[in-house]
Amino acid sequence: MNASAPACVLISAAVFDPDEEMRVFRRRHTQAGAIASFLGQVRGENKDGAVSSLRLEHYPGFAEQMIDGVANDAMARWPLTGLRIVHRVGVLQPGDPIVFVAAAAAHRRAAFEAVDFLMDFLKTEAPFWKQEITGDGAHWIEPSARDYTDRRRWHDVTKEKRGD
Amino acid sequence: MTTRILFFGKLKEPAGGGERVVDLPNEITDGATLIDWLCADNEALRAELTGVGVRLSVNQSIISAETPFSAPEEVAFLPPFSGG
Repeated sequence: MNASAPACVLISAAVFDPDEEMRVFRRRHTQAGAIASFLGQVRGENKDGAVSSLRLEHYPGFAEQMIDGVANDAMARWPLTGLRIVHRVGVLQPGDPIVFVAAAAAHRRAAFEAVDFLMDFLKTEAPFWKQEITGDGAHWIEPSARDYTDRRRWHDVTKEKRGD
Repeated sequence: MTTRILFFGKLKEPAGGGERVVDLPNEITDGATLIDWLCADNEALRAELTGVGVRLSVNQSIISAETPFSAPEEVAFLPPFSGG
């Protein structure tokens, strides 16, 4: 991670520390009145029982390009002073952080909404694929109907990027 | 001119791997003709590639199955995304 780079997106094959991410983000945005963040972690069980691990793959190059694009959309839509998006790939264990999103702004509403928007995008529109490993074997995860409904709340912003 | 064809997520297994490097015949001009060519003797793969929510990208840009392309460097079949 290059602390001086303006780029705010990191796709990481290694475990990352969300507490350290937040510390660094706060240091970069000491003048912001509001910081909102979201942390997604590997769940310990699904409807079929205990989850032993999670495999996450992505489309290298394309995933970064898509997330950069939506980060720019968020910066254009809300008066943000900064964003940070970290997304894991590889083999993860229950409790490992999967995704960290933070937004800094003068006031809370913009920060909350930008994080919400970015998570809805990451769930349904970024080229990542999750496979849960349980006692029954490996299962590919697909977005739920609710994920798509949540995504459509922001449809006017990015429909031109969706290819539909 | 060779083309990399990528299969991600649940598509890798029916495709027999995540990547193929092929010389595309000239008559492959869009996603529909590409699927016909790839699946000529593999109906199971056709069912997956034409399944609900599967998208196609050419040189890392998502297109419809009817959008024409020529001599692409990279084509990818993308099952429903599940990040975050």
